[in-house]
Amino acid sequence: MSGLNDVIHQAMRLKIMAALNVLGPDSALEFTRLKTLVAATDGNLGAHLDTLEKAGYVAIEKRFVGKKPQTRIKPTPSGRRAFAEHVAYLREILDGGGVRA
Amino acid sequence: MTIDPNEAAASLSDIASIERRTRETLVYARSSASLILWGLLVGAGYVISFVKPGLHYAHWIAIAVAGFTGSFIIHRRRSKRDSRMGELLLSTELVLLAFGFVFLMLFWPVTPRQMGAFWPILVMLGFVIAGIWLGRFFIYCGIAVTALTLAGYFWVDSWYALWMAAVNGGGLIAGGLWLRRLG
Repeated sequence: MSGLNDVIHQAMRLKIMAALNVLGPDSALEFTRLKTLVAATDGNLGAHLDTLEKAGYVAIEKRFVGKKPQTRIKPTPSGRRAFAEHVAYLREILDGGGVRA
Repeated sequence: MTIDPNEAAASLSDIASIERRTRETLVYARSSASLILWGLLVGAGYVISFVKPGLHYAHWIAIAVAGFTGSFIIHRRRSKRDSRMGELLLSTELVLLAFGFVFLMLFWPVTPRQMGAFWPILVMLGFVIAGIWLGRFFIYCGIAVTALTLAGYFWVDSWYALWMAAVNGGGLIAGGLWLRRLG
């Protein structure tokens, strides 16, 4: 069975990965849109994205649209895989009805 | 660290909720440009019908061609990132158009007044059905525009085409702008 993923299991990071996992293969979400979706503050979201980026689960791209800076976030293949494994792990716990370490 | 079944269930519920909201947001963002385009074209169509009633349906053919071409271009630009969503939205528009013609064949002849109410109501049926799957905004928009269209059909007399321009053209533009905010 899959194991617990400490990086993804944290509540806010779980929401971030769930939102990003919905995107198509080359799609990304803007920082402001992601912030609204997961109901986070700028600082909070930034800190969690930093953790996910260090784990190699998300890629963060900064660019300018006209004169406005824009930050776009997309999941990496390993991030999608880790998220899928974590969801499978949660389902196994639910199906088994037991406590897992 | 341990997780019990209650915590696992809560996490899965959070995931499902975020996934649903994200899908809604993406659909809203992708539909807004198309809605604004159709709103401008349809609004112009009803104004032309008001100013030049003798044209009958000729201008509507040009408007339909412009609308579908524009929608195709919009969906094509977006489809570089998500081809499936673009295909779904465009296919839905074409299916509604095809079924619209089937209904008209059954009920022909229809008056210009009936025709003026028929297409918006058919499109709003599509909105309500889409809303059941994609997001409540489409349901509210579909019901509101249908109600206002029927109100115009039954109670607005000589200003009917202008009423429809405001309700349908204006409604679609307002809906598109609102979707841009939501998405």
